[in-house]
Amino acid sequence: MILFVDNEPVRIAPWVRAFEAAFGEVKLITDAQQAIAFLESEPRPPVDLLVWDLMMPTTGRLTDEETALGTRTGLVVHRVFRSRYPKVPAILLTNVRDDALLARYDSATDRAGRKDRLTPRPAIALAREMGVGGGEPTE
Amino acid sequence: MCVQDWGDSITASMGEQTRFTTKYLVPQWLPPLVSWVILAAGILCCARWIFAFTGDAAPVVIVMSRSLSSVLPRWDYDTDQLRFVGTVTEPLCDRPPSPEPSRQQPRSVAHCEILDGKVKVVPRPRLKLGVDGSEVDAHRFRAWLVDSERRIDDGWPVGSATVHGTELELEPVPGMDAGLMLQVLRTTPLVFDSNGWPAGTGRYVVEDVWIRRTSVSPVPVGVPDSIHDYLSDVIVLRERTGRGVRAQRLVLVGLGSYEAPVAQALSRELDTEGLHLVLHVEGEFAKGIAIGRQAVAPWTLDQRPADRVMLAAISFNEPDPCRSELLRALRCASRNPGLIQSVGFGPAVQPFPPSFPMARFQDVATGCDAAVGSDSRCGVVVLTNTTWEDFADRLATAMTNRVDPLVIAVRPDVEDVMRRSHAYDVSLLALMDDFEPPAYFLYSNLKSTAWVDANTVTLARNLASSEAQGRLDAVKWERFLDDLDESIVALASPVSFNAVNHRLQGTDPSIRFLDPQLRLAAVGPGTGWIVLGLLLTVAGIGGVSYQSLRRRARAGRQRLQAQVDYFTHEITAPLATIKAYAEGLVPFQPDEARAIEAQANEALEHLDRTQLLFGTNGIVSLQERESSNLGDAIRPALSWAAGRADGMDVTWEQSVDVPTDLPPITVPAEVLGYVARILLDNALKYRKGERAKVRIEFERDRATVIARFQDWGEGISLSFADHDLFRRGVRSAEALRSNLPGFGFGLALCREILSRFGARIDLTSRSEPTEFQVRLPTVSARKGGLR
Repeated sequence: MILFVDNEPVRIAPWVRAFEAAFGEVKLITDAQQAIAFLESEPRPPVDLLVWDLMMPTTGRLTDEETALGTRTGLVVHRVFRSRYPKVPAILLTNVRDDALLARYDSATDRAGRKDRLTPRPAIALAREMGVGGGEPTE
Repeated sequence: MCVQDWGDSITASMGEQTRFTTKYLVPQWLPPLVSWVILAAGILCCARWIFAFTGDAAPVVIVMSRSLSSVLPRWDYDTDQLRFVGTVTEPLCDRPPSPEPSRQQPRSVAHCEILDGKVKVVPRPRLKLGVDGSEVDAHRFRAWLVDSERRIDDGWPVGSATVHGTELELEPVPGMDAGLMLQVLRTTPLVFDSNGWPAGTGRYVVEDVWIRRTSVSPVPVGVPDSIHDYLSDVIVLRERTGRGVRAQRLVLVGLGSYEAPVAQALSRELDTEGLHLVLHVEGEFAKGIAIGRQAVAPWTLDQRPADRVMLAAISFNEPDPCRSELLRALRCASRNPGLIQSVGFGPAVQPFPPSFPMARFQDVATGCDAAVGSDSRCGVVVLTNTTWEDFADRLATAMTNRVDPLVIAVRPDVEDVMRRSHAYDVSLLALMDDFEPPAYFLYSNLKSTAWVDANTVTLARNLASSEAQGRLDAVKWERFLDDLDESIVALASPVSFNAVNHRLQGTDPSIRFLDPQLRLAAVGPGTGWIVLGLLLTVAGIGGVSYQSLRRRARAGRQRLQAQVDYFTHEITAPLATIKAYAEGLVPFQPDEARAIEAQANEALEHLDRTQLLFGTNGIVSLQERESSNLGDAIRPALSWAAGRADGMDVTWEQSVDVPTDLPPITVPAEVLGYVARILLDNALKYRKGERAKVRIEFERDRATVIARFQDWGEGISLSFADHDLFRRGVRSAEALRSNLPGFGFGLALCREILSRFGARIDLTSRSEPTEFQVRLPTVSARKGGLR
């Protein structure tokens, strides 16, 4: 299952449709708090790839301090995801132009890109490169 | 280029060798901690000052005594605050030397000697004889003497008085020996106060003030027994001045048979605690008052050294069974040579004021079976020192087997007695005065005993006179003692006894007593504490406020950044979505889809060339970024560095490689020039020897241009953490020791400024060469694709 976490369903729709066509089951969660609850639920949901957004409204137990006034809410989601899925790939898709931040997510299990550059087709190619779908899943 | 700076526990190195360490000038956690500590200290200082008035009051002990100098050692009470002006209550003439050299001689007003049958009185320095605060002339002094004479029951022994300057010459009345007169002057105060109590020889000069105000010592205040009016005035004055006395408890201690009722009356009047002690208390004992905070009460005899004689006396009023019980116990005790050396019996006496009921004498703890019943109240134990041992022994011998029940028990070691005092359960332990000569003591007792015949009194007076002149005939004295009908000896006069309070509970229900746990404290904390407290509090509040403002400013910057991010996001997001939708349309309507994608890219490219700016007026504006040419950007910095090296007589070697096909970058030329200048300056500062070699290379890496700044200086040790290199305000210890100019902000500012333009600076090589890599985004970087 490909898990999308983005609070703007209309704007993420092209990616969702493309990933659904490429890999099958896709789940879109539009609330960071709900996404965290989903990731922490038992039994652990079978997630093959997380596509996550950075800027999302702060809701529930999330605070302005840990989300930098909502501009970095996705970091919390990603942290929870990594604590439960240490080896499952994740792609950060964002419109934030912070190259330094994006540069942090450049590893075997994490990649990042701006949405205007990482459009659906390159994003799918990146997911395959990380072992999703056609590739061997890492976990 | 070498950069040496600014990290916690950073070391710089030359090659593999660690050369020096660095540390933060000001650790980041320190300012707020210091602020809070200062604030807390200020509050504590203020609280200490405030609670000195409102907290649990510490008592001020006011000791009332006839011979203050012996009761309160002078070195404890010298002060620069002349709060008390006392009245001298000491005897006029100094006393003969103490047989115990270790003991402090009581201070008197004047030195007296017998000269041609007259007593010559020489006042102590700074003292002048006076009456009612005025200096006396011969006429007034004579009138004073006559007035005093009327008040003394057995007649004043002075026949005439002559004043020579500050000295006084006294001639005894006819029939009166000068020696006896001297003895009287040595023991009898000359002035009576309005209550009829002997009050001393006149006003006291202000040089001697018996109070000391300190935070560690108690505040025993020595005032004479006639200080009633003075004391009231002083207390009012001190209340008015707000020094904290109002909140203090006043404990009045009357040390002497005269002072005790005064203290008692004054206690009632002032509605404060009062404690009266019978008779005198000596210097060593007084330390019990003066030493430290704990040594207040109860006082013990342990502090009094030397041998003592223990006298046990039974009142006339004691019932016979009680006396018998006591005597039986004492006789039993006397058979134990380890405890009591001798026991004698004499007439019943009452050496204490009627207000003191007899103490209980339960058991002398001699190991004997005999013990007085617990409900009996039979005896008083009196201790005295070796001066009196012989006399007591003789008196005991003379009285033995004659009249019950005076008991004199000679004790060699008062401390031993005190160790066993719990067994005695005595309510009063009294000390006979060292300085009272035996003959005069006996005389003073005989003369105040109504049924003693006049001849006996005269004989005793003559012996006392001889004794005062050091001519006491031992044979006559022994014969007198032998002939003395002890049945008429009443030691009723308390003049010659010193007494120490010991478990006085129950002696007078109208008086509240010192709590044994009482601790003395200073009168008030003084103004220093409140001033210090206020200063620290203000400083602390300032520091804390400053830290708070810094936090708020930081939060404000964070909010501003968040708004920039939101704006940027909201502007870019629709275009990215349009581009994504267009990509999905390519298989169906390729031309139109690519046209849409191209338009979106154009718009995005335009946005990348702009930056969102927040003006100080809160207005948001978009400003197009100017692309910079790399060569133009670093040229001024290179020229500046070369010139500076020349001025420092340093050989400057530079090598710059700027490919011609590099795209323009989004970082302004001024910013890149500033960064280059800081790095080149560091290369100069931390060069090896008198030669500085730098190389600058540029290289394209996809959407960025990488600038490499290299130098062959001292290098940076591996112990430097990368992130520490770019923290503010940190300099190397070596730089500090070498007095190299700088504040430790260079690299931190480089990273901060570059980050605002999407660029980043990192350390990529620590030595040979030291290399900093700057990634500069290009104007064309926006054209999509993976990072």
